[in-house]
Amino acid sequence: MNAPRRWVETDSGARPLERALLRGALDVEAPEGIEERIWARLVALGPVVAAGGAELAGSAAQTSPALKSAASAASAAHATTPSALASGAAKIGVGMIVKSVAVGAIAGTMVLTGYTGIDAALRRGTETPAIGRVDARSTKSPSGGPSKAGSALSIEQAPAGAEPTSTARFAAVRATTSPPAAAPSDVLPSAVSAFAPLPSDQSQPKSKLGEEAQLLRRAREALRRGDLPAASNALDTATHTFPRGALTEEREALSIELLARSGQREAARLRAQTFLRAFPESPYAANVRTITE
Amino acid sequence: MAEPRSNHSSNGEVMPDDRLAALYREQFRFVWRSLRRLGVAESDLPDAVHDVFLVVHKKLDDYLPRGKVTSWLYAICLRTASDRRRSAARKRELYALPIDELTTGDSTALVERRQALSLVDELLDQLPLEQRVVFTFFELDGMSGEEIAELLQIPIGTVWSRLRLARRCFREAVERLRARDEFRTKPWGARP
Repeated sequence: MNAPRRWVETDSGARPLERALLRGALDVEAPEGIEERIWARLVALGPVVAAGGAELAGSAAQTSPALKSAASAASAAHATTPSALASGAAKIGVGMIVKSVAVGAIAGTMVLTGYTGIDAALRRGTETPAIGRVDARSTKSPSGGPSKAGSALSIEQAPAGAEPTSTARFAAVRATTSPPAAAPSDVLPSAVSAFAPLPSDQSQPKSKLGEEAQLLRRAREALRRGDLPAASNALDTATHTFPRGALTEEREALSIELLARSGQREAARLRAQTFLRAFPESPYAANVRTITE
Repeated sequence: MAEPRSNHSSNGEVMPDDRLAALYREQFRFVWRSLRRLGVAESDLPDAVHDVFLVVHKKLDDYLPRGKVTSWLYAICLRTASDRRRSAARKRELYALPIDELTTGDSTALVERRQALSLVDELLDQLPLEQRVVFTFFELDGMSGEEIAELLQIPIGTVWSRLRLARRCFREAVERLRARDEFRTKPWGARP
C-alpha cells in the first residue's frame, strides 16, 4: 500500500468536520520554558520521589518549607486541572467545536491556555528559595555542604551525589547552545524566566506539521496582541518553509486577517474572494467573510 | 547537533548524569509529544515527563544502544502513559465539576477552547492505543509510515493496517459525537 494522504490535508478523503477536529489537535509543542522547569524539578525533587514516594517527600518538606511548597504546588496543579477537561468533554457540542476551529482558537493557543494553571504552579515551585539553594549548592561545590535539603536528596538509589551535580552539568550543556554565555550559577534561574527558544535538534524526529502549526500559532498570537510585524514575519517564514504545507488554508486565512488589520482592505477583499472560491467549506470561511464585509 | 564537550569526562567516557542531561535536552520534545499522543492530558504532561525521565535515570546504566534511542524512550513513555491513563480515569470521577461551573462567567471562551481540545482527546480515547499511536503520529505529527514502523518496531504493513482501522474508528467516533450533539440540541444544519 502506498502512503495515503494525511487527513489534515485538503482532498484527502477526510470529511470537513474530521479535518477541522484533527487540525485543532496539531500543535502539541511544549510551552516555552516548561522544559527547564521540569528539569529543575527533576533535579530538586526527583530522587526523593523515586526513593520512597510520599514519606520521603514529606520529610524533605518538613525540613524545607520551600521544597514543600514546590511539591504541593505540583500536586495541586496535578489534582485540580483534569476535572475541567473531564466534564467539559462530555457536554460539548459539535457546533461549538467548529466555531472554535473557525476563529482559529484551537490550533495553537489551546496548548498554552489549557496549561496556565500548572505552568504557574511549576514556576512557583522552581523559583522557591530552597530550590535555588539546592541549585546553588550543586553548582558551586559538587562535594557539597550537607544542607537539609541535600540530606533528603541523598537518600536515593542512584549513585550518591549524582543528582546535585547534574544541574550544573545540564546548565553547562545548555550554556553551549544559548547565545549569552552565562555564569554557571546564573544559568538555571535565567533559564526558568527567560530562556531563549532552543534550536531544533537534528537528532529528534522532525514534526513538520507541528512546526508549521507552531509558526501559524505564533502568527495568530501576534495578531491577537496586535503585533502585526511579528505576525507578518511568522507568516512569511511559514510561506517560505512550507510553500505547499498542509496548513495552507490556515495560513491564507491568517494572511487575509493580517492584510485587513494593516489597513489594506482592498487587497484583503480580493484575496478573501479567492480564498472563498478555493475553500468554500473551510471552517475559516465565516471568519474570512466577516473580515472583508 | 554535536555533543557538547562538557559532556565528557577527562578520559572521554560519557558520564551517566551527563548522558541524562544530554538525553533530556535532545529528547524532551519527543517525550512530551509522545506522551501527549498516547493520551496523557496536557495538565498531566509535566508530571508524566518527569516520571519518564526518572525511569530513564534509573535504567540508563543498563541501556545498551542497539536500536534507536527513541524506540527505547517510547517504550518507557508507553508504560508511563498507560499508568497515567488509568489513574486519570479515577481522578476524573473524583473531581468532576458540574458543567455550569465551566461555562458561566468571563472564562467562557477559554473553556470553549479547552473543551474543544479535550473533545479531540475524547475521540482519540475511543481508539485502541496501538491504533491511536499510529493515527496520531501519521495524521498529526507528519511522520512517514517508515518512521513509525521503525519507532514502534513493527512491519510497515502493520502501520498501514492500523492506520486504516484507526481511521474507521475515528470516523465512527465523530459520527457518534454528531448524533449525540443532534440529539441534545437543534440539528446542526438548522442553525443560523
